[in-house]
This record gives sequence, C-alpha cells and structure tokens, in this order.
Amino acid sequence: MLLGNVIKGGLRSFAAYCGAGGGTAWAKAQMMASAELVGLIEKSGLRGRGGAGFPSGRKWQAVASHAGVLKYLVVNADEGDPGAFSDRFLLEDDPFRMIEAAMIAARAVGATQGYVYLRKEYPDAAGILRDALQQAKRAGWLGAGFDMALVVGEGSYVCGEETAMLNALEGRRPEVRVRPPQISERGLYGAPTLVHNVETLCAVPWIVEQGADAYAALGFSKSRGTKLLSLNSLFRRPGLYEVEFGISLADLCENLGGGLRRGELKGLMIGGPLAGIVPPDLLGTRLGYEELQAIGCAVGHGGIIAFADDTPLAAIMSEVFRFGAYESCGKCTPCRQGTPVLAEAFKSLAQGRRINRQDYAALIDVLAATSLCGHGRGLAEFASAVERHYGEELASCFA
Amino acid sequence: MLRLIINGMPHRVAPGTLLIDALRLAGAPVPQVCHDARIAPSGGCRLCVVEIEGQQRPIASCTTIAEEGMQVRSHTATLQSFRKTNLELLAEHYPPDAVAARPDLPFHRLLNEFGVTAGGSVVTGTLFQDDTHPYIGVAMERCIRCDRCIRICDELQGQFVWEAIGRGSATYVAPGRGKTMLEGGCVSCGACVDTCPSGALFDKRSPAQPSSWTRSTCAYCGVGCQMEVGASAGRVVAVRPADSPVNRGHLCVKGRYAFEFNHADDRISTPMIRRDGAWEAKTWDVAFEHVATELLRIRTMHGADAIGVLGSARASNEENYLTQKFARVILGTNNVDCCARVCHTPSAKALKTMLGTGASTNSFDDIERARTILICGANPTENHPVVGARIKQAALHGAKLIVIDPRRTELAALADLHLAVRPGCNVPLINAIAAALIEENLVDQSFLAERVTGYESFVTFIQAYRPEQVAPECRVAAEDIRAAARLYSECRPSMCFHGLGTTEHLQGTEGVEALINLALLTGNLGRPGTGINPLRGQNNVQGAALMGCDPGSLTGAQSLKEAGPRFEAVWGAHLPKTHGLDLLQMMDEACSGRLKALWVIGYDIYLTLADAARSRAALANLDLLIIQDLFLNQTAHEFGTVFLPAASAFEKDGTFMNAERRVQRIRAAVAPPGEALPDWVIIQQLAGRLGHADGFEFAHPQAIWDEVRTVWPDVAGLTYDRLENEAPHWPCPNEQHPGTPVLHRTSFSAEKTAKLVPVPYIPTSESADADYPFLLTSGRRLYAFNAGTMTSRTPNSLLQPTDVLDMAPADALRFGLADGESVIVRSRYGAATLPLCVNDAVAPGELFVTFHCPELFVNNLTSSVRDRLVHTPEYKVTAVRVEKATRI
Repeated sequence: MLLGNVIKGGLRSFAAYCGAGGGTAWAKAQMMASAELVGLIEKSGLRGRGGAGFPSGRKWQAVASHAGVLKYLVVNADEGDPGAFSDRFLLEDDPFRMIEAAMIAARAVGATQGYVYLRKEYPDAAGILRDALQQAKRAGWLGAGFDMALVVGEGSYVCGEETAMLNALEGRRPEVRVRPPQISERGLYGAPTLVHNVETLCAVPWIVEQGADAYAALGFSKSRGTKLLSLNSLFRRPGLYEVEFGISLADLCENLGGGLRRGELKGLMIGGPLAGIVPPDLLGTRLGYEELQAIGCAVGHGGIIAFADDTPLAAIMSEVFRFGAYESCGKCTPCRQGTPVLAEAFKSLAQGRRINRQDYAALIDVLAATSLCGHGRGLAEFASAVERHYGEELASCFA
Repeated sequence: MLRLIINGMPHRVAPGTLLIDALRLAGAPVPQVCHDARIAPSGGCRLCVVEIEGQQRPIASCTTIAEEGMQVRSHTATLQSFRKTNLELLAEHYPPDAVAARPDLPFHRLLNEFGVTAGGSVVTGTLFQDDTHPYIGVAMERCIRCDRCIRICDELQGQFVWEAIGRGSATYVAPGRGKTMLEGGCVSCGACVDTCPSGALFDKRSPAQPSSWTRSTCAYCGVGCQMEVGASAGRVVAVRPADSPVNRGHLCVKGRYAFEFNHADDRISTPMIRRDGAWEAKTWDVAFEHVATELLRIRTMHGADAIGVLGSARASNEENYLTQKFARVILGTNNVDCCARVCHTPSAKALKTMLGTGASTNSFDDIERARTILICGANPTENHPVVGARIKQAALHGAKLIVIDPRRTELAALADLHLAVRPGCNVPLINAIAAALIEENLVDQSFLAERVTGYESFVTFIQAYRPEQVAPECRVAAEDIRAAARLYSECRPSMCFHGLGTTEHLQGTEGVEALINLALLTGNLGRPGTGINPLRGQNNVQGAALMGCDPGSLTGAQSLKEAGPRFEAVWGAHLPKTHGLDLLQMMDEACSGRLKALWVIGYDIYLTLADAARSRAALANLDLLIIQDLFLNQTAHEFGTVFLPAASAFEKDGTFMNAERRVQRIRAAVAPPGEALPDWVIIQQLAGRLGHADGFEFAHPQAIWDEVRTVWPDVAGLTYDRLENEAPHWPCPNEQHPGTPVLHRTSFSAEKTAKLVPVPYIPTSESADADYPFLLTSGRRLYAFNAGTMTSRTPNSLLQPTDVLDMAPADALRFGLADGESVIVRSRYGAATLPLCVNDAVAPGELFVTFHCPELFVNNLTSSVRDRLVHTPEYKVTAVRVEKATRI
C-alpha cells in the first residue's frame, strides 16, 4: 500500500510517478467536495502515524470547519525517533506520493500554503524533495491554488512535536506551545493548520483510490490499515516493513526480522525511547495503539530496536536519559533540570555509584506529572515501563 | 459569573479568568515564577500545577482558563511535593548568598517557604555578562530560565533583545544580537528587570530597599504613566511601574530610571536675588518682599500689561490655575501663557475651531482597537515610549501603519507606508491624501451627509492638490499618497496621532486642520479606534494651557467674553479688559521695551525658544526676570534677576492632565530640599505679600482643584476621592459620570456638524538655496528629554552624551565629512558646532538635530518664522549649511 514505489527502486521523476499510476487519486479528489474527502478519511479509520494515533478524519474536520481564508498544511518530516527511518524512504523514493497526498488534504481542509518541515539529518531527502517540488510546480500541481515549500530544521528532536515545529517554522525558538488553543484552530502564524506526519499523509492517495472501506478492512481493533516498521540491525533481516495492524510482536521478531543476530532477546524498544520497553514474555501482544498502551508501551512512529541480553539495563537507561536531556527544549523545569540529573545518575553507575531510590522516584513522578509536553512525560513513561518489566535489574541500580 | 469548586469551597469568577487568578481570588494562591499578567502565559516553571477533577494529570493553572463547574485542588500533599521537587531542581546550581541577600525576591521567598536550600554549585561558563549598562545589572548565575525577560521584551516593549540560546539544561539567556544589552537593541525600559523573579537582572542604582512607596504620575512626557516612587532617607531611590489603563505596568527609561536629577548637586534650594551680576542667597521673606515691591513698582510705572507670567508644563493643574488667576486677578493682566505655545497650541486651536474641543478626541486604549494607525510628525517610540511600544505591538499584531515623517524613525521602518515628506510640506501632502480620498470615492458618504458641512466647496478647492501634482514638491510618490488614502479609508477604524512635526511650522495649526479634514472625510471620528490625537510632549502641558495659562482663554479653554462673568463671580474680582500677549508677543514687547517684567515658572525659555539671538535681545531688556525652577537654568543663568527654588513633582501633591484627557494624581514621595517650596505655595505667599491673600488661601491642592471644578464644568465630576481609584477622561460633568474616552460620538462639542476647512498651501520662507543648501529639522531622542534639564542630571547622559547632527551618508561623502567629526552649522540666524553622525535615517539634503545640550545651543540656528495663527515657532524647518570645524 505504502511501499509499492519504494520497492520498485523509487520514483523520483514526475513522469515516472504518473506512469506508475500516480496522480489518479488527485484526479479523483478534484471531483470530490471537501466534505466528501473529510468523510472518506473519517470512515477509513486512518490515525496519525507520527506517534499520537489521533484520528485523522477528526483533524481534517476541525481544520475544514474554520471559515478562515488563510489555512496551512504542514508535513511533519522531522523523523527524529532513534531507530525510525520509514519517512526517509517515503521521502527519498516516493516524494510525489507525499505531494499528491498533501494536495488532496489541502483541498479537503481549504489550505492554500503548505510546508514540509524536514529534519536536517536527511540531506539526500532535502535535495530530492526540492527537486520534486520544482517538478510538481512545473507540472501545475503546485502553484496557484496550493503551494508548498521545503523548510529544513536545525537539528532538534523536539521539533517533531508539532507545536515546537510550528514555532520553528515561524523562526521562533522551537519550544512546545501550551494547548489549547489546538493548532487546528490556531496553528502556524495563528491560522488553522493541518499537521500530518509523512506516513499518515502517504496513506491518503490509496484511500482516495481504493475507498475507505478497503482501507478499514485492513488491520484490527481500533487500529486500521497498515503501519511501517523500522527494524534495527540486531535483527537478522533489519529494514523497513509494511505490516497490517494486528500482527503479533513475536511474529514480527521471528518471521519478519528473522530473529536476532546474537544473544537472547532482552526487550523491544518500540516507537522510540519515550515509549517503553516490551519484555520477551509480552511478545504475544498484537500491534495496535490501545494494545501496546495496555502494556505501558506505544506504537509510536514504528521504530523497533531490539536489545540482546548482553546490554545492561543501566546502559539503556543512561543512554535514554542522555538523549532526553540533550533533546529537551529547556522550557519546563522538570524536563530541563530533571533529565540531566537522571542521565548523570545512570552514567555514574559505571563508576560504582548507586542511585537514591527516593530521589529517583520523586524525579520520575515530577517528570510524569508536571512536564509541559510528551518529551518529559515520555521519559517518565519509559522509566515506569522499565520499572514494571525489569524491576529486579533496576533495583540493582539503587543504593 | 462562573462557579467553580476550589478545595471543596464554591467560588465565583468572571468568564475568561485564568485559573491561577481564580485561585488567588479564592485565597489559595499557588506558587509560580514564570507568570506575569503583563505577558502571555508560558506554563514553563510548572510550580502552579493543580489537580482538576476528571483530568489525568496536574494542569498548570497559569495556562488554564477557569470553566464552569471545575473542581480544583490546589495544595494537596502530592502537589506540594511536586512543587518542592521542581524548586529543588531550580535551586540545584543557585547561589545561596543571593537568597540571603534578597529574601524578598519572589523566587527566594518560595525557596524559603518550601525549605529548599540553594545548591550553590554555580556554573558560570557560558553565562552572559554585561557591566556596561548604567542602570541594568546582570547576574545570570541567578537566572532560573523563566524566560520572563525574553517574553516581556518581546510582548510589552517589542524590542526583542533577549533570547534563549542553546538547548536543554545548557540553555542560557543573552542578547540575540550584539555583545551587550545596548548593542542588542536595548532601549533601557527596565521591563525585564521589573519582571525578573530572582534578581538575575537588577537595578544597579537602587541598592537600598525603599522605606516607602508612593503612587504618582510620571513627570516626563504627556503619556501620564502611573508609577510608584520608592523613597529612602528622604531621597527618591527607585521607581517602578504601576498598573493603570495608561501604561499597563510599563514605563520607559526616563520614567523608570531618570529620577536622580531630583537630588542633583546643583539643585537650588534657597531663594536668590542677583545684585551686580552675582547671585545672593536670601530668605523667602526678603525674596518675596523684593518681588512684590518690584512688581508693584513696574505696574505703577508701566501698567499691568508691562508684566508677563509663564505657567509651567512641569507644574500641577492646581499650580497653573493659581498662576493664571494670579496674573488676571492680582497683577491685572491677561499676559499669561505657557510652553504649550511652542508645541501643541496649534493642535488645541485647530481641534477647538473645527470640532469644538481642543484636545485629543480619543484615548490610548483605542490603539489596540484601530486597524490603521496614521502617525504624522511624531516619533513616539523615542518621545512617548510607552505609547510608542503600544503602537509597535499593535503593528506587530497586524494593524496597518502609515508614518508621515521626513526621517525613517523606528515606526517608519516598521510601517506599511512611510511617506518621507520634505520638511515644510505637510499641508500639500495631507491635502493630496484628501484629494485622493475624494477622487477615488473613498469618503464616508453617510458620515458626510450627517456630520459634515462644506463638502462641495472643499471638493472644488482640493482639485489643485491631486497626488500627481504635489508629489514632486512633497518628495513622496503619488502612488504612496494614494495607497495611504486607501488604507486610512478602507481599513477602518483609523486612528491618527500627530506630534510637533505637524505643529511646529508656519502652517502648524493648518496642518492639524488638514488632518482633521481627513478624519471628517472618512468618518474616522466619534468612534473607538479613530480620531485626531496630539501626542503631548510634557507631562502637564495640556493641563497648563487648559487651566488658563493662555492669554486668550480662561480655565477649560472657556472664552474670556462668554465665561468671564462667571469667573468674576467666583473670583470676586474684575477680569483685565486688555488683550493678553502670548509668549512670542511677550518676547517682541520685551525687545521693544514695553514689557518690563517676566515671571517664568519651570521653563527654560532662553534655551528652548527658537531664534536665540532674538530671545537674548528680549530677555536682556527686562527689568525684572523671576525664574522659579529646580535649577539655575540657562534663562536664569544669563538673564535672571530673582530665583525662587521650587519643589519637584516628587515633592508635592496635585494633579497632572495627560494627552488623552485624564486627570491623574501626583503625590509627594519626599520633602523638598532646603527651603524649596511647591509652586502653589510660592504663588500663594506672593499673593499675600501683594495684599491679596483673599482668594488664594488654600490648605491643600485639593482645595484649589475643587475651585477648578466649580469654574470648569467638564471636570466637575473629577473629585480627588474619585481620582484615588480611577482616572476618567473629561468631560466628566458630575460624580456619577463615567467620563468620555471618545469625543464627538453623535455630535461635535459645539454643534452637530463640523465644517471641512480648505487649507491652501503657503510655503515657508525657510527654503534651501546655494548658501544654505540643507533643510534642518529638529526633535528629541529617547534618552534625553527636551532641554535636558532633568535627563542631563541623570545617568541617561551616559546613554546619550551629546546632541549630534544627523546627515545622510551621500551628503557626508559629498562634503567630505566623517562620522564623529565636529562641524559648524550655520543658518540665516546663527551658528552651532556639533559632532556629525552619518545616519541613513535622514534623506539627502536634510539634517536632523536635537536640542538637549545647553552648551551646544542649537536654537541659535532656528528661525524667526512662526505659525500664522498662534505664533508657534517653526522649529522643524531651517535652511542651513555645514562646514568643517577648523582645528585650533
């Protein structure tokens, strides 16, 4: 559904994309009214693939319902989760699918200007996108009714958080904004804004072509359609996979990934470091938003990092908090001041020091309860998942 | 009202109330360090989190609006523990001695309250350091990253100096541009210092904790900011902004920091009489006796009209009222005027003549309501900085901005349209906008039909001023003139502010009339967000004139003829029968020897009047020149015969009137030095000496104001009691009246309609020629105020050390002059030597200069041209040439 053109080796010219059937959805969408498109996405059950899993149809509805003359569409291509690389493939090998999808979404919600916010660490994607946007302009896809520009980030993970990304687009310091107002009401430059992750958007042309029912027929539970998963190098067959929701984690590890290159599986970090670690005894869990949430983890952006039993938990904790502290935007107290303390504590275990359990618990509590955004909260959730599934090993870190 | 349950108790709050405010009102204030009501909530510190029933996690109360039925818990053990942990995190690298030194600062209070000890392990590596600013101190080891400095600089002042740099815990706050605050664009307003909760930014010059705070009104410009004056050991040691509709908790560098003049070494605190050229200190008794004797002698020998009196823009309403009453009742002359004559008498005249009331039509609160703001000949970000900042914020929030000014001022650079008019060409330019309005049918037909007369003849008259026709003369593109007309008319409501760049011309009054024509044509009057609004230059210049320091009218600009009998009844005296002289006529009469005595209160006329050579001739000719001031100003120094030491605005009670028709209290924060007395007391005592104590016996300024309320119906409702808590705009005819923020809503003051006035253009005689190729215009700069009497005696003089002559780079190149070199400027009237400042804000062929420094005496240059109707000097256009200063 999503990787067809990628598997073919990539389609980077407008002509090739159209030759392979690209543009059919756009042609069809132009015959459809805005409300019809919004209804289609609602019915398909498509949810945000960036991590939050928010129903896309509701977003479209919210932005479309604003009467404002100026609305924006922003493509979140700030794929920053360690271990995730699905958007990179979509952007580099199938850029016109994203553009076509953006045009359809813009038409549905009434946006006239679009931006692709791309992470700095994807220079190839930047070149390809620039070229693709040029081609789309020459072909008349972009321009008068809806235009789109590429903006390359400055290297901050937190820009993947959509309000921080909007601040970055406005030239401000990329700090998280307080909500409400929701960005569907007051987003970029205060105007109603539709923000979608690349992968979410790329599902749109297929849905328009094949229909909402066909899409909703895939997947299971409240997670419909397919998901891209990025398997790390510890798997025998690492790489990018497109799976239907509902696949079990065991199936994923064994049958797709082919098991580990070395050692016994210690755990799976799914959806980036802010989500949690799934222990081997929960591999029967099926891939789905609510299903993973039930075990204290998340689908996230679909990065899957397997750890073998030769990786000490303290090393994982130390690395996750180091990452968390480095990527904190610095706006709220617990995340800015608390995560470096945690990172330092786990780092110092290597020197034989031990952590005060009460202090640790107080920091995790304040991070979980009072962080401004999902960054600090996610780090706390990660810590809780570790405590839940690896309590014994964690205990050895404490004094 | 909304109902909420706070800690189990029901409470009611207004819709839109922030939860943090609702908690405070309910007696359950929550701690915070990143919130300030003047700026948008940020939700960064996370100390104000509360539990709301039905919410998964604690919510920051500073970013949450109270909702009906909300059940809130604010001080549970869990929340207090979160607060303590977050405070511990903030204090981990915080210096303990800072807490001990200033336990009163908000962050330190919280640490003590929660029993958190500062960790001490201060990391100073990348922290910003700057010891170059005279007022603002930097101690960034105390920065707790609340970002209030950044946000208040952005959102209140609009200067964007501070930035958060770096990421995560390594983030630090520093100017984004430049190595110091001043290099980074700082305008020294002190808002960042005022909001800083931990003293990371602090006032260098106010180390002492004031022992008292007294609410008062700023004594600088006519904005009328409310402030609190901190005093200690009889001295003013600090000023902080107060919340009021005028300044909304903001001040500028002058109001906030430039107060040390009050205790300057050369403050005069003893009466003095000059004998044989030398000043001799005298007792008040001797000084009063001398003045009384001399005044009586001159009156007997030369008549009452040989005496003139000048009220003061620096004195209170009450004092100016007494001044003119003294002149008219005791001396028996209408020769009383004030410095409004040299600034906004043209505005008062034009507004009174055309609309019926000679004052601003609207209030500052309309700045945020206007969709278009037209600024003509004013530079508010430097001269009325708090209003300037509000206009800047309005523009940043999308209001359209049109600036008519020869120079590219800060607002001109930000404007949608900058019409860089040639000095002296306001009238043809404004007429051209009117012509475009009519030609392009941009007029408000229904407003014209209902409220305006004279349209037909105006249409005929204005044909001669089509934009294309006057564009070359004005040096503004016709298309820009038309664009201005379209914006002003189509993007309504449109509000006009003007300053001395409009009034200080041969056609000053007529320039204002031309602006009023624009408002009448487009219906931009009588509604919020519209109007014609003179930005008054000095704190009480409007009050001085309106109290009756005007030869042609009585208190409230009431006419001598019509209101005279009423005043005679109240005063129990006859009014003088002869016409009074205005300030400029007084100078003429002094030159010709017919004016023998002048009493000048709080006004350095010699330094500030145009054509100083003529001032010299006039002042040197007087028999008696009484100067009543804080300092031995230039007038006193050169020509004074008697000096009476006055109390400053920090040292007395009374009221000032601001530019938007509010009457606001001033209150004594410290006692006057030595024998200095408030002006009202001096006038009172002198009245007694002259045998006329009756009618001048007032126990307190309040009693004087009560008399003002009886003679001027428009302020009858403004009692001192009311002024304690509010500052309604006059007209406010009774104590129940809410005041009148917008004039002329359904009818103009005199009648239902107003008449358009055709204003033919009459060029000034000050034009450039081969001998005098430049046109010089003048104005003020941010750090200096007027003649510098106050600011030069404060560290503001370090921020703006001297007057400079601004010249366009092309001209500097052409004349081979370098930035910073000393040049001689010569006009047809005199010369001045100044340092040159090469500055592309001025157009080639033009120059700009300030007149803040007595030693440079720029008014040696200005001309004898005066406004055709009210005699205001044409400070804004002087033909000059520039020469290299020869080295000695």
